[in-house]
Amino acid sequence: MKLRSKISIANLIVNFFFLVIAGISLYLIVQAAVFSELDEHLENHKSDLIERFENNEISLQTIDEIGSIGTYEWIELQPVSGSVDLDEDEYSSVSKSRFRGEPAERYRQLRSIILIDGREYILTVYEEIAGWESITGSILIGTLVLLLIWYGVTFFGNEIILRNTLKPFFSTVSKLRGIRSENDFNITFPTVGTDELNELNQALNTMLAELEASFSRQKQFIQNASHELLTPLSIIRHKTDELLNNESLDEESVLEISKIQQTIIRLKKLSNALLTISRVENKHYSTDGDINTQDILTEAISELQAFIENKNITLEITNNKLPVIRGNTELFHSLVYNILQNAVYHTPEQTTITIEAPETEDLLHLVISDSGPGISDEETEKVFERFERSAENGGTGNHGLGLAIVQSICKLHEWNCFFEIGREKGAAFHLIIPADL
Amino acid sequence: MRALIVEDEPLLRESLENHLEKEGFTIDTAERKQTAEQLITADEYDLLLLDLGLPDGDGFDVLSTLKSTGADTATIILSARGELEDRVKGLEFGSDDYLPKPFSMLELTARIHAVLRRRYKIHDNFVKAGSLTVHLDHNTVSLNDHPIDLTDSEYRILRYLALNKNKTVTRFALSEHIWGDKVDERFSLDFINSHIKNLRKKLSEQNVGDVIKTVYGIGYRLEDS
Repeated sequence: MKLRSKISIANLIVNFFFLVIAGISLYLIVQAAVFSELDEHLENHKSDLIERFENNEISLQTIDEIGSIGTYEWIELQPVSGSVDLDEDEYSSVSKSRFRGEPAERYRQLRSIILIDGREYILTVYEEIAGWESITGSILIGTLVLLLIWYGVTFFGNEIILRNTLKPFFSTVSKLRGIRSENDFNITFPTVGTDELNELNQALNTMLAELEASFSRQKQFIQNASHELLTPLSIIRHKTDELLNNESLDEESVLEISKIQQTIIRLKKLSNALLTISRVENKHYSTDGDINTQDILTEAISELQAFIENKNITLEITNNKLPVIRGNTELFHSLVYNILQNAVYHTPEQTTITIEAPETEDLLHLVISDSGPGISDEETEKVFERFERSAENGGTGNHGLGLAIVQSICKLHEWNCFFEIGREKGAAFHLIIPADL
Repeated sequence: MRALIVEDEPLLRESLENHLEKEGFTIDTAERKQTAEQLITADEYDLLLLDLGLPDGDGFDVLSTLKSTGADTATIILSARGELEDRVKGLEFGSDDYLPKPFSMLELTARIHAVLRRRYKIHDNFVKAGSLTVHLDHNTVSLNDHPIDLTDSEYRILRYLALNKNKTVTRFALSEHIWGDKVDERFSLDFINSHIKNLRKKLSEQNVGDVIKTVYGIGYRLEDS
């Protein structure tokens, strides 16, 4: 769920509770105020009545007859018979009809015991509530409507405020999402007005700078290490060369020395491949030249021709003329050469390697498929990793860096390359160069 | 044989490349000092053609790097700087020859042959092994003055064995010197085997004695049978 929606929903829930509590309390407060006002009236009536009795302005009979005196709404006087459980004034709300046959109405009543001519009477004074209730209702409704409006305004207001204050946050998130490889570490997050977001951005900047620095240190180290290894390895190699032609050594020693030399040559090839990868990764190659891909493909095929013939492999080339693209010719050659060589190696004798360039909207889509044992789904993911070899050729002296070189070249140029399981069998290498590059 | 051309002028580099290709070399090129130094420490070359003024440094550095690896690559400096000082410095840094620009390709060819002869300690432009003669200057092999028809790869193998006559050439070295370093040893070694087989077959058809000796587990050696 989105952050903004979460905050809005939380706001809605809090506001809803506030609304309910405010509504109930308002209702209770208004009602209490109304009742206290009514009760005061009733109390006044009572005192007034007692005063009038004392001054003989009114008689019991009159009250019996008309049920009210002057402004009094409605009073009842009943002589106390037996014992009455009434110690002091008792206020309550009742529903009652004043005249027989009329519908009942809501009244506030005050019951108390008064003395008239030495006799105890129960005096009940009534005051209508209905009029007050409609006032209470109006106040309540008015207030609730106001609250609802406020509710709406805060909801949309929040939405707008959140959207604006969180804008830098969302821009940070989308930038982070844009990071696909170590080449994207060079982005900077801007300074923004919100302290926390600012802290986040600065922390990310520091982190990315550290990551970038550590990646580049690592790459630089690999480059230096492989470079530094090459010279001593060359020296050992030349020394073994001299030993191999030393007449005084016996056959067995010569054989052992030759094995040492083979190992050294492998080690040199390994260092050299690592050096190439790190030089590509460290961007030592310029990628803004023109590559005549058709020429390079033809050249790579002719360089491998002897091996293709030696294995009686048929090359099926069905591509149209390939385009001229931007990039580094040397690296493109290395890419095509590595892939073709790989295909020649994996394809059994007297089978076929196909080179196609299907029609697409992309600038170039090159597919090189072999008829070898193919690769599994799992391997298509791993095949480009350094030192990754398929189980089938694990025992050979191959350093397993050929495809890692290919991958580093694709990454440098932002080309898309991957392996697929071939249509019939074997493995198919795809190189896709988008038109917008 | 492998050659490295270090030259930053693209047109000259290309024509040198074409020329050496015709001479049967496997060629790598570099336009910058850094690339040249990497190639020279990583690979084995028989010949280095070196321009002194490179965009990222001095060609003499490449010579020092080469020297530090202990390689005995034959080196010819090609330079527009014709000063005596540079020539002397170049020779002192271990270069075998110095050719001031501009030069003719014919002269370059002659000098290449000369430095290679010196490197392999041979005196003529041909090597004899039994009744077989390997001509180094015009890419042919003959038996008692009758040329033998060989493929390009076969000639290159035989020539490299001839240059190293009476020395063991490992299959690795042979593969490297014929196809360069790019080829994967996974199949280049088998490939050498099958080429040597063909070569022996052709030579025995011509009644040449067994001049190519197999050094078990290591490689081959050309001898007078």
